Amino acid sequence: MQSRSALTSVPMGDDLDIYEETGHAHVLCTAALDAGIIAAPLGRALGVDVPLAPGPVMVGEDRAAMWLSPRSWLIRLPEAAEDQVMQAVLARFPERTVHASRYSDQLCWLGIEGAASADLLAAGGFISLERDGLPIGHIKRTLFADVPVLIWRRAQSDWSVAVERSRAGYLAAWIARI
Amino acid sequence: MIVIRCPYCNELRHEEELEYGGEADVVRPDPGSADDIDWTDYLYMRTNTKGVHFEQWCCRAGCGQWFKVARHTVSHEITEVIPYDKKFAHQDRH
Amino acid sequence: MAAPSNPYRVGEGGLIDRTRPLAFHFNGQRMQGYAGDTVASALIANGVSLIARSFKYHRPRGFLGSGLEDPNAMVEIRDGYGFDAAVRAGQVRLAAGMQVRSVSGWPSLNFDIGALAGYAAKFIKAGFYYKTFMWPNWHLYEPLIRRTTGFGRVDANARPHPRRQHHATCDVLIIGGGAAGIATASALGGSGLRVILADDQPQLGGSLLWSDIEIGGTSAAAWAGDRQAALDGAAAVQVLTDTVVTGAYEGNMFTLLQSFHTDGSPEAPGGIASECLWKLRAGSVVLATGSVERPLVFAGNDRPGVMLASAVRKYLAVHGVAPARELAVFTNNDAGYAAAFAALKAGVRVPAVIDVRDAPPKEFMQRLAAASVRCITGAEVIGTSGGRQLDGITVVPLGGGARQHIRCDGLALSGGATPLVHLTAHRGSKPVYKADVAAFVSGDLPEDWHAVGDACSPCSLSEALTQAHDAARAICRREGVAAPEFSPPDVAQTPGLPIQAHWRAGTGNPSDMFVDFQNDVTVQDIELAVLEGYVSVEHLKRYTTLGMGTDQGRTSNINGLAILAALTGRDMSEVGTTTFRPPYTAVRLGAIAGDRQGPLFRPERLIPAHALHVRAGAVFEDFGWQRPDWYRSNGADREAAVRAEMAAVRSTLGIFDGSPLGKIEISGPDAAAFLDRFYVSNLRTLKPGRIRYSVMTGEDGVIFDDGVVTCVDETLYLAGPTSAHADEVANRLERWRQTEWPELRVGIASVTSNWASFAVAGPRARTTLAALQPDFDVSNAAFPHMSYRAGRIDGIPVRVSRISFTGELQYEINVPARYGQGLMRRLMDISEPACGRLIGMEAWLRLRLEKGYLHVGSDTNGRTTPLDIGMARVVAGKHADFIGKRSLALAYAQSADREQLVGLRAESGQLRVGGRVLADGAMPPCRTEGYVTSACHSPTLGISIGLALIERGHSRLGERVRIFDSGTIVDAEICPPVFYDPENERLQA
Repeated sequence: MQSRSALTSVPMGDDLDIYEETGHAHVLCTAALDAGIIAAPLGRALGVDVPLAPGPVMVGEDRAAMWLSPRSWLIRLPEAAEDQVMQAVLARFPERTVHASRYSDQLCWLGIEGAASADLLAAGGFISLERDGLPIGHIKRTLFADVPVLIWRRAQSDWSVAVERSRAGYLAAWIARI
Repeated sequence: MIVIRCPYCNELRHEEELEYGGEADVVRPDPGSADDIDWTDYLYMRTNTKGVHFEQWCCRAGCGQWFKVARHTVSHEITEVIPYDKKFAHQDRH
Repeated sequence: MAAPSNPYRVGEGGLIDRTRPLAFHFNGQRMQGYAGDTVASALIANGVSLIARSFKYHRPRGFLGSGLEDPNAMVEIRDGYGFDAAVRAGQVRLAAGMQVRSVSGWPSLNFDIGALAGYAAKFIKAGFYYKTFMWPNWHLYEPLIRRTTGFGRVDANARPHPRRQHHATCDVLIIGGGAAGIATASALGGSGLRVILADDQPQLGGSLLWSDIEIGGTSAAAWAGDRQAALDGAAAVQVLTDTVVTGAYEGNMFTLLQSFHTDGSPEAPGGIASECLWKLRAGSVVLATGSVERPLVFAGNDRPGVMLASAVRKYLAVHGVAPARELAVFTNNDAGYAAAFAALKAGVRVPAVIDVRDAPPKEFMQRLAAASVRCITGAEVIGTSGGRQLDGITVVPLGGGARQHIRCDGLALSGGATPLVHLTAHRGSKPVYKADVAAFVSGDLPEDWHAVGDACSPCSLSEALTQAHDAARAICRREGVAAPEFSPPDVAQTPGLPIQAHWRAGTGNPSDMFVDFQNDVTVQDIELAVLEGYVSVEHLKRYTTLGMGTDQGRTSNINGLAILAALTGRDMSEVGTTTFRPPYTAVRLGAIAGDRQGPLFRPERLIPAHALHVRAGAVFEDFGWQRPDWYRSNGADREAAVRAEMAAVRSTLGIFDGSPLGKIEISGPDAAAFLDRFYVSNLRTLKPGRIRYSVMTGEDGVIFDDGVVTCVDETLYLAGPTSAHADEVANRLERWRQTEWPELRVGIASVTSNWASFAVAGPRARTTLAALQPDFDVSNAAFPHMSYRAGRIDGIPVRVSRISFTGELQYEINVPARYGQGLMRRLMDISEPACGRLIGMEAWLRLRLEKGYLHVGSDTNGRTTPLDIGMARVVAGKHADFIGKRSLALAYAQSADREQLVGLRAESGQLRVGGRVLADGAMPPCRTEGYVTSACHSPTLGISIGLALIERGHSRLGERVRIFDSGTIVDAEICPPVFYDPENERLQA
């Protein structure tokens, strides 16, 4: 159900394809307590378990949960589910020990695919300082071309890179320059 | 290029991703009872160690968490990295 | 047979491709070299021996070395890709069409007016410039001196080379592709470890390429070629040629500079096509950088024709170039003999080998005798003759005796090997002196480092190969992989005899004995420095500039400090070395900048409706975000537009894009208690749906930011920091939550970019908001000033705050960013009949100035506290603690003499930001007691108004002051800072 937008269509040659991922909503969940206490009920409210440790993205049927910090998670979900999930979190946590923020417009998601994708990412920064690199299915926050990003490795040469929307134009221009 | 493994997100971070936060374990005195000397010491006086320095770092471009590091100020050797609520090894002994 | 244009090219041999001649120009003269030449080797082949004039004395200089160690051969190069102002001729690969020029020597290299300085050399000693030109001001003389010295000039029109950057990790980084590096990589080839081998030359081999030793039954060069082919085929090994490791940093991080060359084919122009700056993180590190040869120090040792023995060997073996017709050798170790044998083999006459040792290896003596070469032992060279080119040397027995003159046009020097330990020094390891090899070697190696070959300590080839093998085994052990099967090959090498340290000639004029060729530092300079008390090696360096050139003293450091040691009666180890710092060799700033130039200089931030603002004629300004400063659609020039925009807000409506304003959601049961600790105002009494303005201070009581806080409900607050501090405020809240008050149950979410935010301000603001048909009541009674409503417009979630920055009725409407352009278009449509206008930053800031609202950072500085801006009552009224409160009770914060924020009404002229308030009405120069922080012409009042920080300002209302600014004086009256609607009737309407 992922759709591609022509907004950031950068002609890159046969071994690289870059596009804007659209068609999802995003909700940012921020906890006011330690995650261990709220994780289980939060997972029920969201319809996907929230990971308690960094690294692997928790992928559910039509939504996914990403660990951002010990007390915050980014939830990707269908656009139609956004309001319902916001309400479900508030209903489950009326004192806002977990708070759901609207986040669908905060980030711009770029899909980067193809044999040359790893080289493109390596030009902008370390994908990982680990000698094993970033494992498939994992997500991390880092700097790319001096811009804070989320990098989610979907497959060997298939990446989702999220950048704050105000900086997406800069990043697209930087990529086009490469 | 200082490299530190963040104890929260478990990623190796290089210094462009990190933020330095000054000396660790500077205790904020109770503003209600601290005299002027106590308060200005808290504001401005630091150990300025040549040797192992206990300090705060933030995984700024990563998970945003503050943690504590023992770093040699001459060699930059990092001997301890601990979550913020933990004590350094030498503090445990006392 | 040598080409007629290449008089110094030997008949055969070398790694150059003689089927591919390359034409180039040197100082306008057409020349020819071959593919595989460096600019240096091609110039020598063409008979160029004078390459530069020296830095201080303008002495003629030739090629001392063959690569990055060469202190002399700086040239400028224009190639098919761009222009380089100052590069070392031995480091540049020759390409067709290159334009090479000398960078020193004016008006021409052969007739250098500055050489007159050479005759005055006795007056230009160490520290000369500083001593002579100190009064009245060095900067007066500097431009004149700079014009006659230095290297290169900048061509502002030149296109920069394309630059790339790359980040990578590997298991093992091997630095240096000579014998030791190749052997280590070969041993690790099958281990499965990811290995990167970096070497600065176009092909691997290092000194093997000019060695006459046999390895495993083949020539050393052939062995290196075979190994390189094998390594290129190994999946886990990446060989980076033309790549210099320029810096070593903590955590085994490295910077590498890789360059890509073309030599000029029909498809590609010749030159440096691009460079790539690597940042690399390695698990283990093998330092196989080898060593560099030192010259010997004697009078006239800088004359063109004098060259390092290793450079002679490289030019002969790699480039097929003989740097001389008659080559004498002066040595204190075995390496000099190899140069003599190589020269003989190439058909160069060798009149003599001078060795300071009494008893060189017998085999060498016999070989020289067989070739009728005199071997003068126990002797030294004490002088040279010739003008711009060597024509003879003077030799004398050590300790004195009869002088003899030997005719030669080349002299190969070998003063011993200096291990290249710069990279370990980058990591803070101090080199230590090892007397048996007369060299500084690495001290303690950084963790997971191994030094092999000459980089460890000058050694034989078989020792180097064994060390390489041992290093590979140790790495495999550490990584838990199978030990390598590769074993060191057999080496046929005559065992040698030790070096005999010989740091300077016993006789001769010290002012002609050059230690640092690039910076023209002589033995006399060092003597003078010692005489004046500069006996620390770091002081010597700075006083004489020894080793401070672009070659970083590669060939001069050790000789210099040995001479210092002798003059001060100390051991070498006592003197120590200076500190080596990155980069190892010159790196172009453009390589570091990479793509960060032009529009990509730094990440810029765009507001959601950016494109629509562009269409509306916005003139953008960088405020951290690209924001409209004014609109061409509102006036012919900035001033006209700004006045029209201000008038629209005061009379009808203005639409202002405030999207960058910070939006931080603070949630949880303790949200109010938490926020209350950051702001000067009491936030615990803030009711749901209400908004309060406040300021935030640092723990030192100084104002950090201001903004409004909104209570959505008891467990959700919105903090609205200024756009400049939005990220910092969020980080600050988060830091205190984590580190100081972890017990508070609160969450912090920064959502600034999720929302587009438009302010509508002016008498028609309410009808404009109503026209959007929100699902809540917008009447004055239902939605009063300083309150907040969340709801929907056309089903879209909106958040509306009624606040005012302008002094007019004003609403701030937030919609998800994707709807930003749509909202802006609708607001423009709605306001068009009422002559509403888009408002830029300049008009917005002037409107707030009329209203007397402060702008943090403009109207506050690094000392301003809430007490200074008139918030003393708010501070006094808050009983709970907040960050910085205690500091406001300190004597300095309470002092009556502080600069306080007040208004200024000009009585004549225009106030300008930065104007100084003169004390006691005196004329400058005199003490001043404050300055204008904001100023503009107020259309409402018809006069120039301003805000100012003035000593004791709050108690001086009504006082007249004189304000000095750039030569003019403006009379003004101190007044309360609110100029417009002090009763707040308009914003509450």
